[in-house]
Amino acid sequence: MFGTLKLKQKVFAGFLSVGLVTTAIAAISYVSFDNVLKNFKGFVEYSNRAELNLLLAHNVSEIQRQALIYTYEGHQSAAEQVHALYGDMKQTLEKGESLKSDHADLIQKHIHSYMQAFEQLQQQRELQHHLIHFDLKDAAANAEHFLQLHIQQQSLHHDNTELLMHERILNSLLSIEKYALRYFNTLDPSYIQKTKAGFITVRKQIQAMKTDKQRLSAGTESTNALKNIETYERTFLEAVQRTRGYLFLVNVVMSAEAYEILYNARKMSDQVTQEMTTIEQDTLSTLQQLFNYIIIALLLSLLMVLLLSVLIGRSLTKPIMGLTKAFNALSQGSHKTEIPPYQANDEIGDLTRAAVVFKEKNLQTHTLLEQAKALTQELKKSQEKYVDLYDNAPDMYASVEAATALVLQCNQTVANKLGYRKDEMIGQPIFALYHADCMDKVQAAFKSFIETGVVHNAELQLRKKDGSKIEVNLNVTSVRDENGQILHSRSSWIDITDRKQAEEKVRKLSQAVDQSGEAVAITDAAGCIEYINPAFSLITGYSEAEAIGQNPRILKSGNQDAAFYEKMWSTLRSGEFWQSKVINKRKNGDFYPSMLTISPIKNDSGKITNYIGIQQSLEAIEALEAQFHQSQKMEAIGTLVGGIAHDFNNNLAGITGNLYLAKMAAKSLPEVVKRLDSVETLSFGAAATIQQLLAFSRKGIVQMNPLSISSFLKETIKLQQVSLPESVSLQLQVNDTDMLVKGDINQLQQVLMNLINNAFDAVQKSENPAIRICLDRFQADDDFVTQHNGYRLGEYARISVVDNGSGIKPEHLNHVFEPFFTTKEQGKGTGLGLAMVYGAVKTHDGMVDIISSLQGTTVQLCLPLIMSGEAIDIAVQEDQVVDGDGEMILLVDDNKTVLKTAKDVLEGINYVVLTAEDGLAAIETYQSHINDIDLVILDVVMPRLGGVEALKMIKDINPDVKAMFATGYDKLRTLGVNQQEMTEKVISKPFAVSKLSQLIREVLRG
Amino acid sequence: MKKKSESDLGRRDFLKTCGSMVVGAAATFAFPAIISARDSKPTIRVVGTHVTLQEALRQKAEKDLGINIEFYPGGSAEVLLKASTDPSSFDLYEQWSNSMNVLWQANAIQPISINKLTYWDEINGLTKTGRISPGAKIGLGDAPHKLLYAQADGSLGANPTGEISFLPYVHNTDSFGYNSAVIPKGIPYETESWGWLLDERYAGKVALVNEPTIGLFDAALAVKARGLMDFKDMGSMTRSELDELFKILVDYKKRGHFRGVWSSVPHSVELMRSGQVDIQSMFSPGVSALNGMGIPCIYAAPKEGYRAWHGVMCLSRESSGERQEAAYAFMNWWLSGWPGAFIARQGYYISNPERSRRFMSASEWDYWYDGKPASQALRGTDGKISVHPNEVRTGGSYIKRFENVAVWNTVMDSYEYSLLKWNEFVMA
Repeated sequence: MFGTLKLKQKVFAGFLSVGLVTTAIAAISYVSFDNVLKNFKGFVEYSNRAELNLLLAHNVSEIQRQALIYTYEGHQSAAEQVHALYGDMKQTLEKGESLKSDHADLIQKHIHSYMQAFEQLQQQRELQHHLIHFDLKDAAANAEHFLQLHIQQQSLHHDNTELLMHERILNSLLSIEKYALRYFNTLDPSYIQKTKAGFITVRKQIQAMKTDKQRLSAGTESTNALKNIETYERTFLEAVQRTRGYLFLVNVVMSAEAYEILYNARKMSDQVTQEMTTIEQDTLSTLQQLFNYIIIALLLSLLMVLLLSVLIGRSLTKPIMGLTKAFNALSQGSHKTEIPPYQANDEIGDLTRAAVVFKEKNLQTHTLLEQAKALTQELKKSQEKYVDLYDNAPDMYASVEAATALVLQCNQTVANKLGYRKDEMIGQPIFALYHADCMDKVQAAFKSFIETGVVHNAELQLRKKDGSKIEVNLNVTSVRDENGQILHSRSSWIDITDRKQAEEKVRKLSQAVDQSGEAVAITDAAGCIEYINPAFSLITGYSEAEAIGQNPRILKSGNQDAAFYEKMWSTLRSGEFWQSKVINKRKNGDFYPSMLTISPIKNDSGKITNYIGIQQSLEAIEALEAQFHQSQKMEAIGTLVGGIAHDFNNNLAGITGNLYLAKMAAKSLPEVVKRLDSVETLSFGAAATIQQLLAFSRKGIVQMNPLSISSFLKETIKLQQVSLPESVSLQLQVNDTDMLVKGDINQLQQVLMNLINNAFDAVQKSENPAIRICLDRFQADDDFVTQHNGYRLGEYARISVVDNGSGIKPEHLNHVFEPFFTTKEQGKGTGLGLAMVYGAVKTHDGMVDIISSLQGTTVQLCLPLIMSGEAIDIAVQEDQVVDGDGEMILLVDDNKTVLKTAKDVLEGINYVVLTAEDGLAAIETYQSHINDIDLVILDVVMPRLGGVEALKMIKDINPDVKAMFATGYDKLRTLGVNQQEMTEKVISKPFAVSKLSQLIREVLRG
Repeated sequence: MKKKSESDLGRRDFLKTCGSMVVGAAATFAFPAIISARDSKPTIRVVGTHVTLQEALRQKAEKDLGINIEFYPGGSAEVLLKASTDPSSFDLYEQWSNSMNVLWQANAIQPISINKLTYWDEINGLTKTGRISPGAKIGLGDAPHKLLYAQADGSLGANPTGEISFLPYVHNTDSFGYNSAVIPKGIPYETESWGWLLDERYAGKVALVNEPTIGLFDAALAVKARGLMDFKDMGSMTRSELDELFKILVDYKKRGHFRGVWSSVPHSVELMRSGQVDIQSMFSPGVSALNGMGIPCIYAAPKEGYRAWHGVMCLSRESSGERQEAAYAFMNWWLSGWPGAFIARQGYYISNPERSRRFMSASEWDYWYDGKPASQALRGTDGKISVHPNEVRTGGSYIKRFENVAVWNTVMDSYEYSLLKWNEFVMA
């Protein structure tokens, strides 16, 4: 700023600055002196107050002194002085009224109280004065006058005695007066006592005179005398009380008030002194401050003068030097050289401005050069940016020559997407980039392009280098020459693979819902149905047209109460899904159980827009559950039967063995043999019952072998035919002879026998009783398997046993497979037939169905077919005992009775028998007779070491050992034995000796 | 513990009103108002202070006795002057025993016949013999028994006769109070001492009551406790003893030891509340008021003993006939139990306490008379809670207090001279 001024202005500026500093000093001095003046006035004012306080204190002391003078001396002038001083004090306080304070208020109050007390004192004092100087004197005078009168009268009578008494009374009265006055003069209370004593004396003297009427002229007079004395005394006592009253006032009340005035005046003085000290310090401080300011201002002024001198000198030399330097630099083309900031409107200023113009010109030249450089750089960046944008655009771009359909240019994106390098793509025919699947569409699009110059949103597939394809959306524009001929295209492809996949996903989801077996309904937020799937219609009976727009409450059955639905809505409104089993109502009014799951569907902001309800019909599940429960029940029975079968069969084995031996021994006694046969029949009947139960519970011993089902049927029917009466027609209808199943012949025979027996019982009352057995091939496809639980896909041999009986009552149908369920009369049926059928068929992985009506019953057995295998011989063996050739058999069984009986039986049919009671003993025995033993028959379950393990160890000794098992029931599976590993024959106990003998021969034959 | 006792400021207002008393007495001898007056029944006029002239008592007495009663309450000096100069203006006079000499001397009252006092035999030994218990010391000065009996020679004395000068009834003890926030709390009867009033540590913060017949004894007890002088008989100081006492006091005063004197209970409260004073002569209502303001003022139990006062009820010389009978009935009513229980709840004692006991709860008796902790909150005569559970009255039981009386409020023979010296002290 200073540098911009002209020299003359600088000098003026210097003077002006000094002048301003001087003015500031004057202003500060004025303000400071003004403060000092105010402080001085305040000081004077406080001095006046201090003087007033002093005056007040003096007046208080003086007023109390005057009050005491008045009190004790009775000088009226002193009382007047008190009033005058009171006036002065009031005036003093009024003068100091401008300086109000609590102390001043208290002083005023105490002065007022003081004067009130003094005025009372004056009254008391005057009253006392009057009492002493008038009333008391009058009373004394009256008393004396009365006596003087009597003395005069008595002197006339010359009664010296009475005169003497009167004189004494007078003397007493004088004493009273003397003591009374002394009291008032000295204020010594002892004179009160003396005075009172005087009054007593006088009274006594008068009383004494009163008793002598001759001496006192009349009683009335003495009474008057006593009254005078009493008045005298009362006046005295009142004067005493008045005296004490005013003494109390002046010495106690007034002195306390006076002291409080003095005390407060002193406090006020202290305050004033403190204020004055403060003012004094404040004044001194102000003056000190002023002095400091002046010194600082003078120094400042001196500095400014010096500074201005330097500035003016430098303002001339420094710019010239600076400008010289600047011009030198400018002449060399510099545009950065600093131009001295000398903007004054003088010659140096002109030079400065010229230098600035010079510099600006240099700068303009430089700027133009820089701009050219920048433009070049910018252009380069723009090109790079364009290439970058083009190459890295999210979409695929290419230019194709219209005439040749060759790729002229493409971006990196398309190259990357298709797996090419850019240079590989350029020059390629555009058609080569499309997938063959869409070539027709490509041709059509190209044709359209040639005709119109554009292609809009053509959905095509590009072919990647690896042959895979990309779903794209093609848009093409054209570049034409000035004649409108299309030169080349600008093609852009948008990769829509994700979109397509998403669409596919949606399609699948939609189909999943549509094809779901569970009923799906979608409602809006208000519960209005917007969508249902076919399963919904299937389960509920409502078509889509009927359901859309309805509320799901159309399904309400009334089986759920209001609280149920309140809880449901409460859950749903809270955003949670809800699930429960419900009983709904179909369109036709039927109720059906279902598991209903409802979920709220929320939009992005979390607001519920729809609800989706999924109903899973529980009818099939409930049926399955029932089936499951049935299976469990069956399993329990099986476990029970299995548990007793082993011991039971062992016992029966013992019985039947012994029966056989008994029969052999009693051959000569036909009656005995007959009875033993009956016992044997009953024993084997009991064994059959157990077998039935074991078969039902699938615990029995089965030996599954491939067999031709048609041959089996024929053989079995042959046997059955003979047991049926001729009146019953039994026919076999075989529709397919080429079917192999894997089965246990014994069980299947039993099955068929049971079914034929049941059919026979059913047709007893038929007019033309007929039983027909059909065999055909049955194909279980998907639909069948879905609808028939337990079936598997595949082919079955279906055996149907059809009768024309009275049918099974519907209420019995569900129970016919239960063990011990029978509708036959007592003793005719065990209730195990169909149960055994059921268990045996299951053992064979087959199925059994019953269709019954009033016209008859059809039982269908389906046994899975096997594709290969050699069918075993189904010929039924004769019931004949085959004797041995003296071979040695090692018989192993833990049941001693069985062991002994079997030993006897075997020895009876020409075998040599060794026995062992468990596996370990058997091994020892075998080792001892390894070369003698031809066959080992082992029980399966034994203590210490079971039959299976023992045989394994014996095989370790002799791998070619021949052996078979005899067991009460098949615990092998429960024992964890893999039946596949066992090749040995098994005979179940109790066994017929014929069967045993035949099996032994079979094994021995190898 | 906060001391709970006398709540009535009336007795203590006398100093403030003594000035106006003189005016009233000198000007008209009439009283400002008649509180109650009825014509059909005998009417008695009772002059006294606010301590006992309470409206509740008057109404109860009227109801119980079937007479009209007019109360004329006023300041102590005022009523004393009134009674001593105009016996016809009242039937009964209720004040302090230190006014007895004046009244008796002024022939303002007539002897009371013991035969007419129903409960005379129940009055305890404090008034009759000067001792509350056999081992108790008799306080100096005008102990009430010295003024009780009307002697044959017309004087008053302790020698039992058939007539008494006053009916003994309400009485209590006084001491000094100190701000325990400033002065360390002392142990009652052990470390608390009148000598504290002259302790240099409290210089400038000490005040005395502005009443020579009371404050003089506070000062004398303090001087004696400090060992500065002794008295032949503190209850009857000679002029030379007064000279010596006031010489000491004036010396202290000039050295700035005393803030000054107080002339009313509110004045004493203000001095301690404002911090101008830390220790001073006090009346119990002032102590209660300060504690109510949150100032922890302790009413000391000085080891040297209390300064005690005794209320008197006197029969006017002019009372006779039907009015005299009614006056006797009123006197007997005062000792009939209920009034004693009533004033006990204000912290005052009655001369036949046992008769009042049946009108007090056990908890009240324990606290007010036995010096035991209050087992429950106690209500004052205004119906408000005045004593909180577990509070203990400072100074202990009634017996304990009156076994420790150092001096009785007394108008000494040197009264006039003491006034003069008092002035010197106050103005020093």
